[in-house]
Amino acid sequence: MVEPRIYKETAERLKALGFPFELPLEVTHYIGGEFVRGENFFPVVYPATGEVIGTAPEGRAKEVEAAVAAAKEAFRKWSKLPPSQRRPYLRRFAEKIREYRPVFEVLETLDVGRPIHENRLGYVDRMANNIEFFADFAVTHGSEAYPMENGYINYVLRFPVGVAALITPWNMPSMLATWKIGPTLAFGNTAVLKPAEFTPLGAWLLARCAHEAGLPPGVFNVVHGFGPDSAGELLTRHPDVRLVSFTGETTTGKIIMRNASDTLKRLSMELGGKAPNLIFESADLDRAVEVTLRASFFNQGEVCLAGSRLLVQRSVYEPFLEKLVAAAKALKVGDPLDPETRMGALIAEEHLNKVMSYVEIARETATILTGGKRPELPHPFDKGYFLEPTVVVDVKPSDKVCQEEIFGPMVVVMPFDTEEEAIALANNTPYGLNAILQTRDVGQAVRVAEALEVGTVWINDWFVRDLRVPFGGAKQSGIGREGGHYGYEFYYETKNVCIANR
Amino acid sequence: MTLLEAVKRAREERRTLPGGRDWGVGLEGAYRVQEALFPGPLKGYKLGLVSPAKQAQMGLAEPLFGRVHPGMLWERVELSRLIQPRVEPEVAVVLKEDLPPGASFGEAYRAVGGFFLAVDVLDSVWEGYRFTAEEVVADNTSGGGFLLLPRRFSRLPRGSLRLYLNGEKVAEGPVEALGDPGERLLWLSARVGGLRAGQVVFLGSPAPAAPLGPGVLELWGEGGVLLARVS
Repeated sequence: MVEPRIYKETAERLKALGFPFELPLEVTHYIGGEFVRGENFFPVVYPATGEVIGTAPEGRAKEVEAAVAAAKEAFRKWSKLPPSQRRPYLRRFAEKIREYRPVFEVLETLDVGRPIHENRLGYVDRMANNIEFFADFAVTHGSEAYPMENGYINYVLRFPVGVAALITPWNMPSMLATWKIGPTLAFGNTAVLKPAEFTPLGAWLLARCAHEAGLPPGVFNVVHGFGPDSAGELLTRHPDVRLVSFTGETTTGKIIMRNASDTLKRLSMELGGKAPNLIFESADLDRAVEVTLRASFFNQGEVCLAGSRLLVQRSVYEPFLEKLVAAAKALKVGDPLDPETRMGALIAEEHLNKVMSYVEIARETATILTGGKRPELPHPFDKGYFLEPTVVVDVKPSDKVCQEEIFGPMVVVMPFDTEEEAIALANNTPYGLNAILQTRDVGQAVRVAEALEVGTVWINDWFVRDLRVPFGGAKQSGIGREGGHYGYEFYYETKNVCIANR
Repeated sequence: MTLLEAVKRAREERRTLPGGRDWGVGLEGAYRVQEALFPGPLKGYKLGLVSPAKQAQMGLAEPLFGRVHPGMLWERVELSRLIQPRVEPEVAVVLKEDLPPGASFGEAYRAVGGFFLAVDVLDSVWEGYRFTAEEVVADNTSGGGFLLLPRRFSRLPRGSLRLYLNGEKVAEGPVEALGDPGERLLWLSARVGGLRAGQVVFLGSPAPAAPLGPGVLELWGEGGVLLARVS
């Protein structure tokens, strides 16, 4: 059994919020419309203080079997409902999410260690919208017909696929869960959500929202646990799971694909990244710094889309770096629940150690302009997994720190002279999730956007999401696209019906 | 329509009144109206207009005070009960001993049981908070309600008080601007004929009041955080 270790400051603060849960938190599974206490508990740690603020149960064969069976049973009715009859349930679900806004804002910070400020920039609204958008999309979209010249008519029917396993990462747990829950349920599938073991809280509250919104039992289930030899692997091997939507590390993605191949599941894989952030000489430098600061350090840089490789045209290299370093030094690192804080703690001690190992490499082979060490913070944050925003220069494109996903508040900077050189540098990694272009030269923006081998290009901004557009990665950054009608294709099965006119 | 009737009716009907009029009542008369409209039993007092600059604006040379009733200490804020709420970050003192008028400085400090972070939820009947000193006193110095963080500081918290609504900073000011608590208590004790053990005194705000809307209200003071739901 895990011993909770809770500081009174945290407990007091949550109590003052009218936090609806008692500390230590007892996270439960949600299976077939019931909150299941489970067994084999693992600790829930608040990354900012290292406190054990609760426990979550590890789902094993028993829980996974029960959840998949409940989802399969619920699928019989849920898949037969017309989208317009599924929509009211989903709207109530979204409403519940909004109702719990302040709780989500705090829970997400307890889960991830992210500054609460970042959870208040429309985060919860976006969660609710992720569900509403697809509920509406399912209602308003039809299908195609292909009349043939020789008197035949084809029309395409769509039908739900079945039970979906939704496997989500620890960096944006509630946001990414709702990205997947929305289209899964709106298009008539049922779901078993397996959140990352570091961040069980958001999914637990989402289950409560679904429950209070009156979703039929089994339509949405949550099973906690780990990946290998645990809930994650069992779900991806389960014959009754027909579809897996996964966001996470590339290595994990490959394992899931292997596990899923025996039972021929549909797969959507949004994996790692090492996004280039190209700053051309025509860019508005102040804006470029503002965008770069977000793209580098939002969520402590623990974002698959983070612009972790800065490629800066030589003519603006020095002034840009000067501004960026000053801005990075000014970022307030510390207590994530303080609204003034702009950077919180990394997810876990082992992850901090991993990021620090890249910092050590940089210390030996490159130059650290700022950061590279743990900030000095007062109790209880002295035990948290903090790292100062770190900017590294004097690197070679082939260096480990320029090729591998670090997933922390550390960016590498390389100068370039020409557009061609910038494109070659940008494409020079195994990843291809996204890129950022900062330029005021329209022709250049068009040319470079076309030449980059990535799934998303942001020009003069970052992290803007429109649910209608395709989202996903190229190369080692993933397979498949979600969003709008791309998700429509993934979460629905199609059937072509061909009629003869005689 | 007298000042008393006007305030009474506006409060009952939860609507605002145009302020800035001469009701033919002086400041002492206004305090009598306050007492008539908001009679005991009292849980304590609140100080208003503690900054000399604000006092000068109102043509005064001392703070104002209002009455605090047990029902004015809230755990959450319900907007439906209020007319035009605003909020201020404050510090409150709870007395552990009586403080008679004319007590010494040392006695005033000995009477203090502790300091607490607090939020003053103001609610004035005067449109847009435009009023004369007499009008605001009669209206119990815009008395709405208070939130208290149940964490005792043995001395005045240091640094600044920061007030946030849904993560947006709406008010900030240094605690030093509240002046010397002992001095404030002695002044108040003399004005109201003595303070009692167990009473709470809100020492005023170091920052201008901010409009209040639904969401989460947070007050950050030295190492303490007060949070409350506003709905």
